[in-house]
Amino acid sequence: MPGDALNAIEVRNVWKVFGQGSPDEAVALAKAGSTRQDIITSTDQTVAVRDVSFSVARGETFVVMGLSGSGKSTLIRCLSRLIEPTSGEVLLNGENLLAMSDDELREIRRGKISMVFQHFGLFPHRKVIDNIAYGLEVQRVDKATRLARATEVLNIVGLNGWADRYPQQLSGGMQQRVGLARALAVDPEILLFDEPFSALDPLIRKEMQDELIRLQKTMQRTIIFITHDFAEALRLGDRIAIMKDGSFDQVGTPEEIVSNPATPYVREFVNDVPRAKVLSVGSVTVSGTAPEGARSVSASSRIETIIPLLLDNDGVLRVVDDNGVAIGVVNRHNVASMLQAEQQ
Amino acid sequence: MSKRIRTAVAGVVVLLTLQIYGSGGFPSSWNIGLSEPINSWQSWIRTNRDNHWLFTFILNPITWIVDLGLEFTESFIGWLPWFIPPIVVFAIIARRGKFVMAGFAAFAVIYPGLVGVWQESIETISLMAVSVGICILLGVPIGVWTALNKRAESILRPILDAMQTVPATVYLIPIVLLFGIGKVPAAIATVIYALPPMIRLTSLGVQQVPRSAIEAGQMFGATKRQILSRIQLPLAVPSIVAGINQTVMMALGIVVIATLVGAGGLGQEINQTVRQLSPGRGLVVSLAVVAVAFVLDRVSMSLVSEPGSTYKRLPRNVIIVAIVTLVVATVIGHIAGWNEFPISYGTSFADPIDTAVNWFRDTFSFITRPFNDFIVRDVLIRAQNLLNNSLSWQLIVAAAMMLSFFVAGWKMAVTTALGIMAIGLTGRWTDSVDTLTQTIVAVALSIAIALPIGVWLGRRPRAEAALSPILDSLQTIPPLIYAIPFVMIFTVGPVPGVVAAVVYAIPPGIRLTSLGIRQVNKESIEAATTFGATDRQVLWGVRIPLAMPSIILAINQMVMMVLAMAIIAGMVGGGGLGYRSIEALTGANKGLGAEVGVAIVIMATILDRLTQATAKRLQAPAAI
Repeated sequence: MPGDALNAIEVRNVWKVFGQGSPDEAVALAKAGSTRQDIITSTDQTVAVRDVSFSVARGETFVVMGLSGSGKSTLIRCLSRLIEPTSGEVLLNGENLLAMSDDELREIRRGKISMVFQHFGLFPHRKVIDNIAYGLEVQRVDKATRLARATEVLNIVGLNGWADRYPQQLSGGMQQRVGLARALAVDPEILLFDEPFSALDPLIRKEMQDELIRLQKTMQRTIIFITHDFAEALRLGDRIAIMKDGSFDQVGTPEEIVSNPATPYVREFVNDVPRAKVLSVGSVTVSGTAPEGARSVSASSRIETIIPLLLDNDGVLRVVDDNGVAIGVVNRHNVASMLQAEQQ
Repeated sequence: MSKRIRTAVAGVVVLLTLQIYGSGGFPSSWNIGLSEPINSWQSWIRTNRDNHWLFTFILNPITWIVDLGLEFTESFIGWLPWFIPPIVVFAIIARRGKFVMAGFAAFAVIYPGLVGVWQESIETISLMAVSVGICILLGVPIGVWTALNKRAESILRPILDAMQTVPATVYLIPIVLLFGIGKVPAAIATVIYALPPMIRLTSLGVQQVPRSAIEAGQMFGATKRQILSRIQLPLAVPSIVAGINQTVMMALGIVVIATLVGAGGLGQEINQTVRQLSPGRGLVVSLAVVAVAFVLDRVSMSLVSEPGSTYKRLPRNVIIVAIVTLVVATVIGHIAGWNEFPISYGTSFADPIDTAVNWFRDTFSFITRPFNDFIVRDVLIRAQNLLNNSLSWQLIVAAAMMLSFFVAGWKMAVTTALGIMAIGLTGRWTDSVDTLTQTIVAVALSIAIALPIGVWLGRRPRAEAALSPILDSLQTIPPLIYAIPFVMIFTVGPVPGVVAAVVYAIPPGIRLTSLGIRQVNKESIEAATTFGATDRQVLWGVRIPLAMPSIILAINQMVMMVLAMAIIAGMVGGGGLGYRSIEALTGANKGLGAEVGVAIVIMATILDRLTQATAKRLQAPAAI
């Protein structure tokens, strides 16, 4: 079986070129290093996704963060073949999704992948409960079973009692809960989120993020999550890809990206982030041995949690790993210079 | 010298040259003889009607089926006791709790009986019901097909456009040739006329289904058929209902013209009132048409529920009891012989109206006479003289071409030039000039009236709400009815046609203008106000410029509606293409109809494209 069996989904060299005629010239130009704008001028075609490869492990939350026009929406639609990619491979348990027939693809969509949409994509002519049961209805699951399952999921997302309303009678946040419940009802391995919370106001957005984190703790699904909100990416992502002009500028854990932005573009986002909330103690640890009586802190905890300790203690703190073994020390100076870097 | 001035001078020189060396009027020897194939086709049909396969296997069965439908509907409604239809209509609407509306609708059902046209209204309703039924059966599948298939759409769109611009009298001609005179050809003509909105709105409804709803369906692995039947069609229902509604209105609009081929019913009555010049009776009978429209509209609206709307369903028992009672009442009523409508006040409603119109004519003749003379002598005849004799046709083509170039570029310029010459080649140059001058006068008057009212109403929503039912009913009254009082006031000739066209065209003009004014971005107005602009400055500096595309669209609509009135103008002595088309339909020279049809379609297309292009030019660049 090709690919790493640990990976739920593996994406290899996916391209998407929009426009009339053969994409070959545009692809060749892109490979030679032309910018997207140059390619539009010379071929009238848009390279929306440019040679993107990545893999997502089972149970991992992979966030693709980019501004509008970066190609992130096109990318997620290529993964589900709502948009047909120009070339590349999308491996699902080692099977190439892009080579599948319509029937095979339909089978995959019915059981394995679900999607949550930016503007919810609910069916205004169906009640909440029938919206949630839709995926099962398409699979021809009998009515009693699918309603039972839908009610179960309705309760999971906290919408008990709203089953017989129509979507437009619900608030935005509640509508997206329905969208989430609809995706969960078919018990998918992979969940695709296309900017699901960007249409919601900030408080509701935060609430929905918490809800997703809570659900993911118990569900452990493989999630690919698209957003334009860097803070959201940091909160939700196990790993984050920063997308610009159709390709990834950088892929890494939130901490890797914040502590070490790969390009000026990524740094733009990182600059606005309070680093103490993202970076771990380990990232500012220096080698050395702490004196007897110094407090110990865990290398994996966030820096903001040790600031009160540093203020109380004049000296250094001992840093230990998850097994309690000392790996170095940290003092006020280390933290202050990291926070200083934030200002630049 | 700037480039602009040089271009202008060059243009004037070209025009002068063409004027000096060109000739007045389009050379009649250049007629390409469009009428001949039609006339020879006509004689071919006459000889082959009884034995050719086209008739025995296709046209005659169609006739037979449509006739069966008409016969059945008409005799069924006629068989019902008179009080059953109003009760059924009341029940259908009242079950949604709208009792006042239901009461109005029930009264509208009885109204034709009260004014003595019960039987005629049954004929009209049957014709409408069968035609609209056929429209739905054909229009919904075709609409879905065009929504899902781009190529089908690109093929059908120009055909639909043509179906709506060709005057009804013109396409009645081939129908009369193929199907003869009677109710069936009238029904078929109605179907052709009323089908386009059904197709368009179905297609629109399917296309407007949110992309995300379809993607959601796809992502759950729904098949194309499942997406169509469970997502796209249910969500298109409101639009399809609007299509049925439009189709009903269109079908009613052709009621009068359909009588030219033997539709009978209310249209026949109206036609007679025109000949007898009795506006009172004309109005009373037209209101019966409006009543029929109102009932069909309300019933079709309340039969379909909007997705997501919640209302209490009646208990099943109540429905069953109601239906059983109705059936029993029907049978008893039928046995007792209560079929005929019992009372009729006949023309007593009409007399005061006749008196009023006569009084108006006599009292205001000091205004209407000079107005009539001014329009005919000083405007129309002079303009026609100018275009037919004084100016060379080469100059007219070149000037129109320059205007088109200025507004919409080279393509439009070439289209305009070729179009005008094609009109000349049909041999209907003089008639076209007649129609064009009347159209321009009518449009100018419509603009002068509709735009100020629209601008005024746009800022006063309450006044608009109050006027809205009047504007609505003006649009439902058959166009011919407008003409009757004006014929009495202005005497026969082009003026009553022009004035009737103005009255006909004004409502949509007012509507679109006020819509444009009202929809101007609120923030722009607030911005202007915070800079201290006066109301007048806001109006002229912000509202009107931003509403300009909508205003031009209003003008475009008015041009189209005035052109549609050309036929009616012909009926009341306006001459021009309208008169020729009636001559062709009712006389022996059917080929004349083809020439008129081509000429009027070209004229409508050019005027339509030019105004649309103007609107586009004035549109503020879209936000990125």
